[in-house]
Amino acid sequence: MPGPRVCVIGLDGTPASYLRRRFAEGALPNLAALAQQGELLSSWAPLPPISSVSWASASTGTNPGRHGVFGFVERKPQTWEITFTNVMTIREPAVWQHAARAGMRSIVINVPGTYPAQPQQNGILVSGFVSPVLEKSVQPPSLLPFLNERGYLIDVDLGLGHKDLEAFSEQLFTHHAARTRVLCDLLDTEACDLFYAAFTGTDRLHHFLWEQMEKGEEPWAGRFAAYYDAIDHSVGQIVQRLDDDCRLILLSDHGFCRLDEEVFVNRWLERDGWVALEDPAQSIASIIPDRTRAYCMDPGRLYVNLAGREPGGIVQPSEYESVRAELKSWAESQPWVTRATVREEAFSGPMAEHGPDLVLSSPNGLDLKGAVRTKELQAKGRLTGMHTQDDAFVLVRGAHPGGEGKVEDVAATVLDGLGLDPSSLDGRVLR
Amino acid sequence: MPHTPAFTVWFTGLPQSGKSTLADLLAYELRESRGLSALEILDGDVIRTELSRGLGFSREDRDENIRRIAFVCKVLTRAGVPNIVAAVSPYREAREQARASVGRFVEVYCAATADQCAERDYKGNYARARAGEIAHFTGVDDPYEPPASPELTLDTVGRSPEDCLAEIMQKLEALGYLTPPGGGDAGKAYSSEEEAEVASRLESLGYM
Repeated sequence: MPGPRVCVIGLDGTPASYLRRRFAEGALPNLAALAQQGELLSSWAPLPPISSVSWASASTGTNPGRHGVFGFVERKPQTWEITFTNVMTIREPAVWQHAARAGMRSIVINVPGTYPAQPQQNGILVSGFVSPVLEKSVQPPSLLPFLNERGYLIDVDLGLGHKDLEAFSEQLFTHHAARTRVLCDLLDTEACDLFYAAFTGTDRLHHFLWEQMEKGEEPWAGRFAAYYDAIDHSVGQIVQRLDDDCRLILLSDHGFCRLDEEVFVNRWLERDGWVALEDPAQSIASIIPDRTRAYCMDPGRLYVNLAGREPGGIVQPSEYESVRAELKSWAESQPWVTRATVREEAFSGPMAEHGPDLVLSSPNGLDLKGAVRTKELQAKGRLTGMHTQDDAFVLVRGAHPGGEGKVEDVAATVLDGLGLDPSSLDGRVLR
Repeated sequence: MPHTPAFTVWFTGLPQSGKSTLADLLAYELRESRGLSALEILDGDVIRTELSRGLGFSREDRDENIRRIAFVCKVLTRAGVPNIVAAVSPYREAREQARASVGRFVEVYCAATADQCAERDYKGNYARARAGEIAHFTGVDDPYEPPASPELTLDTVGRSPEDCLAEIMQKLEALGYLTPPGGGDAGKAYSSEEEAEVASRLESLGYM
């Protein structure tokens, strides 16, 4: 069975610093060996650093101003209703689409933002988060029995993380074993040019158990380490199925750190007179437009309530720049903001104008939220880990590219490995 | 998804007359409600920085710009990809040539006066053009020739974008370019039940 020419393994949310720490302890032998053969680069996620945005960048090699994904949730145009981003939101071709156009075959497993699975030209695709139904996540559909026989699940039951950590932790491991089984069996039985798979259990582990890991709180710290041992073992199983000349790329889509408090940005905006909310408030549909000058959508996307764009928007186009400048100044005076980046600095490309007017970055430990159901300004919830834009990683077997990476580099490096031209992408080829 | 032939929806009108807003809204509707995932928007501002980079705003260059856009529309339409153009396209003759070249062509005129457009011009281009800082600005010192018989004329000042969208969708159905929806969630990325599941999962990770 000819192996792939390029193999990508994603570890959702794995920080470079965590891997380095474990390597220093002599742990994670398969990943450490790869890091020794190449160079583990610290890497940056696009803004905002969440999986829907970042995986779209990793698979298309473009910034959100080109691929058009700015969050998991968007305001439906000309309404205050919310809608969910999905594969149809992405405006740039993924590397597997480039490969298909060149007559190559791809196997793509569990990459977030690929739901509903689109028919593949002679390839295989199983969608990742957020895929509510397995049946609509599999192309070709004839692959479904193969997945079911191996106990494949798209995701763990995230609700368990909030009410039964023991059961959640147990499911993380069984879920991971099934995913590994599927990946290895596909590599054993299906020829392809590009193999692109993501492990997303790492992100779930971090969200619910990061602080426990940091504090050494048992049994969770031990489970955390053991989960990474399982990840390492899976990476080893995949690597032993690859030819030596296969370009192997590992990446994470963002970093992670401890979450001390969630910051409910709309409540801060409300306190300072920027937004008015109905009581009780459920979503942005609870915004009172004629008393709102700006509002927030997850995770820290600020929008001016602009006449002609937002229904009932009260900021006139002629006031837009001055209101945005005032909003930026307000945001940067808050202790939970390290930077407010204007749209044209954060994004470039034809979709940039669909992005938020400002994107907020926060200090590690303070996680920015668009939720409006709580009336508190800040609170500690059940989640103990949060995303960071920095401290992601990228590693190309045998390559020493130097410097820092960014998530978009992955796609450029994939196309280069397939012998395709990456010059139109935003990322650089990591050699 | 029922198969319908591809088509070009061509929005024309003065700068800030609502072309891009309606193009985006239409694209969203076609993707989300009609499942047309392979769909392209050709926005005049973007075309000017890519396909037509280097062209100016003389009549000759403007016509060349429209000829290039029309060629892309023709190729996309032939390949079965519906496409939406949002371009000032000020000259009637150039638009008629585009119509002849593309074939399946739906011309939508965004009717608004220069004063009305200037009022909602948050970029400030009308003001700069009127102050003489920008030359060849359509509606100020360059002409705009309204279409003689567009498929649709929309009053984009007096009506909401959603109203305009509804009329465009009706027109596309009437012309046979779209099949009227069969009801339910057919063609949407997420059904209503799936949306509830997605919301629940996102909430578990703090994203709602």
